[in-house]
Amino acid sequence: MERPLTRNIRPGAAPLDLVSYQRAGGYEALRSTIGKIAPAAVITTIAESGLGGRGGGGFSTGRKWQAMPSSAERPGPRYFIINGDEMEPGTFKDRLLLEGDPHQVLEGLVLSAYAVQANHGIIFIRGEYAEAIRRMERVVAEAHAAGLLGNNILGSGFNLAVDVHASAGRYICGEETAMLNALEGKRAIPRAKPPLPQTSGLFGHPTVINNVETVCNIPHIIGRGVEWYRSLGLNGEAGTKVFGVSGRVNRPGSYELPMGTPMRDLIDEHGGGMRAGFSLRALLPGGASTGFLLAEDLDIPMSVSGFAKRGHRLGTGTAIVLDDRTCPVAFIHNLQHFFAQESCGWCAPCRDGLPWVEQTLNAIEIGDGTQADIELLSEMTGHLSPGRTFCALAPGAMASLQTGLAYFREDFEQHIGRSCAWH
Amino acid sequence: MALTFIADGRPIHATPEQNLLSACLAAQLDIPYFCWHPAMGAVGSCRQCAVKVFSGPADIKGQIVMACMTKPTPGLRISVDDAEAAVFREAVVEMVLTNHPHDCPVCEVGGECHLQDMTALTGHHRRRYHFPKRTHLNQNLGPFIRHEMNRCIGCYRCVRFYRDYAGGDDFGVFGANRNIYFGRAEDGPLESNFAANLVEVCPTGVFVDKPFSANFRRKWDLRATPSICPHCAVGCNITVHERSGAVRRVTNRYNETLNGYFLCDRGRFGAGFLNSPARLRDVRERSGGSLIPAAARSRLAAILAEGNVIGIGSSRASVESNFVLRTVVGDTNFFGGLSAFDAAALRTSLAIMRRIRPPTLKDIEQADAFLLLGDDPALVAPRLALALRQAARGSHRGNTNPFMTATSAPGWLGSVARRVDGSQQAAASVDGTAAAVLFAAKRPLIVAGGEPALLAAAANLVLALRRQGVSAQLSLLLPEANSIGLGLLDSRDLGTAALAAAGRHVIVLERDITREPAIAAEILATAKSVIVLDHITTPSVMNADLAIAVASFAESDGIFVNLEGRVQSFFKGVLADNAPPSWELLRDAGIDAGRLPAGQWQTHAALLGSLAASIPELAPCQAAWPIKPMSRPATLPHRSSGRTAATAHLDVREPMPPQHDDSPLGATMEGPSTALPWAPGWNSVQVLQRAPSLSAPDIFLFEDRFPTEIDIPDHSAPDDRRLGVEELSSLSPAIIAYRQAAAK
Repeated sequence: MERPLTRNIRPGAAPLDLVSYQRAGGYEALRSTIGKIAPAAVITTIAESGLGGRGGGGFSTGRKWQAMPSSAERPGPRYFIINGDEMEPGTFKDRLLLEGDPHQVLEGLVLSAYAVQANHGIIFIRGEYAEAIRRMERVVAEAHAAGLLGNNILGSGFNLAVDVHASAGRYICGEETAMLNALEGKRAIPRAKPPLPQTSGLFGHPTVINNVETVCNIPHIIGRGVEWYRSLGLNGEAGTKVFGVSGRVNRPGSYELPMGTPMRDLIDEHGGGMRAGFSLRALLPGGASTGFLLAEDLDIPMSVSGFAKRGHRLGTGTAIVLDDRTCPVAFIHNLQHFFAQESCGWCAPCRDGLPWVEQTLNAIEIGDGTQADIELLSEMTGHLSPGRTFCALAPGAMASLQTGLAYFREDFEQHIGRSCAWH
Repeated sequence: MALTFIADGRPIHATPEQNLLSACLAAQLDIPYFCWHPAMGAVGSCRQCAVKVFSGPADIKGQIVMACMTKPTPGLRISVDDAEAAVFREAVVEMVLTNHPHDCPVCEVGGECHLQDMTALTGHHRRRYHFPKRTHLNQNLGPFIRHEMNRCIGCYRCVRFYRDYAGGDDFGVFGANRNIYFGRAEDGPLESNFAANLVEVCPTGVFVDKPFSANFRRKWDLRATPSICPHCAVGCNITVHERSGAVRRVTNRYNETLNGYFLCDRGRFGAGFLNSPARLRDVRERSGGSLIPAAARSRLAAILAEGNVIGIGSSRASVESNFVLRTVVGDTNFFGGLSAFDAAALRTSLAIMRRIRPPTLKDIEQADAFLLLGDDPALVAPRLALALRQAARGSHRGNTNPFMTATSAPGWLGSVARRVDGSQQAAASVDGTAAAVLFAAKRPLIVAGGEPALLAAAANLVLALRRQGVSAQLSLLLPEANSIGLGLLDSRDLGTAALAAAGRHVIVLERDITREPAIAAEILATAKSVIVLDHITTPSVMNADLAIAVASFAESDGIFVNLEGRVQSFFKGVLADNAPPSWELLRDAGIDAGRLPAGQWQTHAALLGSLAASIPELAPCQAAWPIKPMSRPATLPHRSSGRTAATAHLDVREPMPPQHDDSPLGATMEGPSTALPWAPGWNSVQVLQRAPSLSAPDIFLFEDRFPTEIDIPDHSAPDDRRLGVEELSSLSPAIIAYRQAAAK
């Protein structure tokens, strides 16, 4: 099984420097493309590859790039931003890629920026990822010295300046329009769409924002072709993805697997199954903003379309396992605590609704809850649904609560009038 | 281009630029909202204005959208009454109230609170949230505004007004999630000259009018009278709120083409002078003797009968008072009496305005390039400066022409001229670069104030642009509320008056001549006697042979002409038995002295008729006086509860309605009033979005003509225009406190 994204990553070992990265075939895709293949052709290749956004949305990367106005239509600065603000609870795939193979991220950035003719690249990294920031800064300097960045890259006439930006914090910065505000020095609150960033992005200029993992796919698609890339996936999907699993499994961690791999393989085969004495009760398949799946759902192929068919969201593809010895109410309360704290405070239902949800869950957990509280929670999942809040934060928070209320109703009701039986 | 969409089966007319919310509100549909503001636009943060939108005739499920964030399209079908949308709107109010203290009984805004109205509108009435509320510490924001952050519902209007609309940078939003805080980095007076608009921008009681709070009455216990701000030449429309003979507060009165929704702080708090110890309330002689009020009339009559008298007018007194003084002393014996600098600037300004009609503030907001010359509008005409900022912000909406300043005035002006994208424009002189920019613009504007030579040069630049087919506009800054009204009666300066004063009686109308100390000393030394009519105790009053208390703007009817040449009437808002307006006193003395026929000008309309006949240029004043029988503006709210109880300790009978010569039902609850907009369920200032427009008619004195070049006069030196220098507002306790704080 091919693992293009993580092929250079060895656990515990330092990432490849420029020399060893190039020895391993790095920057070949860049050298064969830049100044030799028209940017529009690169976009077409990516569109045909079937690559979708790896940050959780799954939107076609090629189509996202095609929405950029041409340089003739919109002269002036253009930006390509890599979203490395990985703050989704339970998600640690971008960290692996940033720390493990930073040159791969950079090569993907140069190719992507070339495709959309952006002359300014920004790598926006979660502030707590200090090691990732250091390593990215180091490879940017290396690549610059080697003429792989800066003006007239490899004699192609294409210029690209790259900045590594350490986030000042806040989960909402991972929302792409809030990230734009953060980069502009404003409060990190989401912007209304439309306009899309492609037409009015950073400082009002055309901008593309892609996830770290998405960008890491680009050199491989360019270097080895669409046919090869499409053949990597299972069940009609294209490429591979860095999946992950945490919770009480034997081998929690990140695993690069073909898109479309059944979830059961991730848990049982790669994750090593549940630890002795624990059994799987449910899992959040793609971070804290996705809804629960139950044990009987484990055969769903892990892909955006595979999940959508069953009414679920793949999210970031990094699963959090709920075992049978953990209180689901406390589990959900912990998630809601995170979301209530990370609400940016811009829109009323999220800002004032999530703390209410969080406090109600806490009351239920400590035995102060009532039946009416459970009804209130159920009501709130409707009020904080997509379209009713300004961005996707609160609806994402409600995914676990809504499915949790459906799947663990008995557990909630057992808490009424008495404290948590799990403690 | 108009379009029609369908709300709950009802056709609603809208324009494509509107959003569903504003169109529905204008059509008298009740949709609750918090963050949207007509002057600041839609941002979609409060999620309160949810409505259902249906994608086509077959769509019965529909989708919830925010009305403020959705543009109407022809034939679009929406539902406001939809049950799902209504339940959501109620839920949003319940959520924002989780942290609201429900302290309405002790809150200054109770009874005129948008949050109360909207809560009632959604039907939410029972609280389910039972956890601790988040609480904040309040800040000392200076003498104008009291801070009650616990009442905050997080609509972001304050910060959007303060920073985006008004360009302040010492106020912001801090924190995140529900722990957001709207305030300053540390305690201290808000620096913006427009800070106190937060009182009206806030949908609830976070920002409270501090002087009003210290002397508070409920909205329905206040007499609300339409008036005109007397503190600068912009003439913003205000509402004067009175109770028990004292003016308690001033609020903004909407005028679409002038001040819109906002006032400056001088305008809002300047009226504090009305209640200050510096008010003149009696008739006194220099010897210290106090006379009975009736003596004023007889003494004036005696002087007028003697005939050896000149009058010195005032640019802060009404057109009527100046006109009556001019008439009773004789036209040639009436002097404008301004400082030499002001008089020269006024003469030049009038000469220009008679050929180049000044733009309205709304016109100014539409300018796509502007050049500032001389005086700093932020000091001379603050509300006009706020309009200029909106023009500068327009560059963000697609204007690419730069804004330039050729003034030496520092501070706020710099930020007006700065492009909102943050790039600081270098100061440009009136050279080729500036000319090229103005020539390239579609609606260039020149704003000029100060010395006559500069004004004339600005006018010639505008004329040059117009000759080239560019529709350039020129706004001239004038110092006082009725500068133009006075100037059209007489614009000779105080020095000229002094030459005529020797050996004669001098009647000084509502002005402090000692602001020109040398000339005043000459007048006081050489005149036979000096009689000052005023409502404040100025050094002129202290030095006059006879000082007579007269009514202030809040205690009388009258007309001011503002710097747009707009004629505006103000109404008597304090009905207590105060001193008479100057024009009434002078009229009666004039009749007694035989200078006027018996029975002259017993109604306001008759006076304005004589004015029109005597000074044709001021004839539009007749049209600005709206009073026909039965149509004097109502000044009591329908819910006025205290009108019988207020004086019950004196007399339990219901008091007689106030009597006016020109309207049998004046100043009661009867009749229309711009000061009391109201719609069922809408008790806050936000009612303007819901009630039909009551904006006063726009009446202007000047028209564009086809002029030749304007002569450039000689150079002269300017006067001080800072906040607290203007005669009336300088006596307001809040303004005094502000200046003291600023001096530290």
